[in-house]
Amino acid sequence: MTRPELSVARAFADLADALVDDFDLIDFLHLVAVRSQQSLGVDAVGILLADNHGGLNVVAASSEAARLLELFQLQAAEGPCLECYLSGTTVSSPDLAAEARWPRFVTHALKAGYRGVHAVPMRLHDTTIGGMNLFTVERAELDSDTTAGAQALTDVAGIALLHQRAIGQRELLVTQLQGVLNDRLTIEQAKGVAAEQADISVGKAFALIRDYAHRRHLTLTDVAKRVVQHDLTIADLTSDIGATEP
Amino acid sequence: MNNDRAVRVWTAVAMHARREASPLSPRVACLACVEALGVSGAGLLLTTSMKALEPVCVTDGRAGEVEELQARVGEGPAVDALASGRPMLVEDLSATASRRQWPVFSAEAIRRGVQSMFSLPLALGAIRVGVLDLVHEEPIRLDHNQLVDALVYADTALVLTIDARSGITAPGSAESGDGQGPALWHAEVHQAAGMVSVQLGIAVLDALVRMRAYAFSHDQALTEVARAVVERRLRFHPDDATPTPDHDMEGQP
Repeated sequence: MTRPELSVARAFADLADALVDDFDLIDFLHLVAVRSQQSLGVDAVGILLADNHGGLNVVAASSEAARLLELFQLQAAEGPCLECYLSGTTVSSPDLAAEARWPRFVTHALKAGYRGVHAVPMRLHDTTIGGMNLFTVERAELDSDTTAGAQALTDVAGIALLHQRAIGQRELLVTQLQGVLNDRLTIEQAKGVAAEQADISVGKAFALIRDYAHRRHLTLTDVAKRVVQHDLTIADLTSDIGATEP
Repeated sequence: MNNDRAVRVWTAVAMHARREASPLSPRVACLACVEALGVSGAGLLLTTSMKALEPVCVTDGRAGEVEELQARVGEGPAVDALASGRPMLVEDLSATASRRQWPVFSAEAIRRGVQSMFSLPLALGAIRVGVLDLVHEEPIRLDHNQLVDALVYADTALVLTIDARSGITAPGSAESGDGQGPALWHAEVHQAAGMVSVQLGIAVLDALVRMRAYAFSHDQALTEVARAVVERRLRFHPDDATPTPDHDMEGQP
């Protein structure tokens, strides 16, 4: 494990600051992923939610690198996060080189440069609805403090899901999950549109969209929607870069 | 794989199609959903190129009246479901919250004998394919399982609609994108659809339809086509009837 850039306490303070009245859920989950990566001493973090088909979908990640997103996507079929989701318990594989489970996932993970992987369940109302997936470049056991930190950060992500619309019933949780997963697809479409317009990678396109949303105090989903509808072009997204950046 | 529900729903839709000796279609998915959930009726509306909603399946006169009403007054659960991309579950249209949200629609729908309405958007990101409205004559509550079933029926109708628009007449049903869950919900497929929409100057839905048609005619998975687009190995050109790979894709798995 690498030395964390940030304490878990600092990560929580930042997340609490972001929980303003009308926070953007996807953007908040993105912040959870980034702060988790920085404070847990791991190299990549993804937050995955279950869909109605019984698969898992990534809704936020500490990096939008295509290879990493693919590792999350693969776990719709097999992998530690799917196992964690199905069992409702933490699943750890400190050394993928010695891992016999999930052969397809392990091959891809090692090829992408990750040696250790861990998954922590996200639970709400006694139901597991997804999980947080942690990757390390080096072989790494998670110590009990790190596991507890990861679980607490995952819980915050889960609470944010409920909090946003003040929902309490299970039926409504289903519709909320569906909405979040759909918002994430809107962002993927917008990444594609912006990437093609600017001839950049989809990962870079995400950063452009996100930075624009932050500069203008707009939600990620709203900006993404406007990009998809060609209501915002790449010129708009890049026009005022540096103008209001801290 | 934990997709028992999806398999069960697809099987129910396929059985329904076989029973009435018709091909798999969004309409059949709508009928099978009504049967499975025991609601009194349903309406399936699909968006047209004119951005209007066209009813493709209305199970009975009452559901038809409610759809006509909603289109006329321009308010109702389906209108909100389409705008937000989120399901609208209205257990009781006579409740205060419902009457406040849709003052004209709820009063008129109740007069026509509809008390409950569940509007499930056929949405993929910013794409709106249509909406599935389930209506019932009494206030009812769908339990968790029924609700998730209903959403999967709506997804089934969505997949069949995209297939139909892609000119695929014998849908392979739950195309599973090499075992990674339904391909239509893959991140990469939507990144690629966004890129193709710019390449062709068309809407993202139409781009997705073009990719699906290309995948089908080249006997490739939609996810493979999407990856080739995202990695810029495949471009779609507005002038050509068929897109050209930047590199020869023949012989790839």
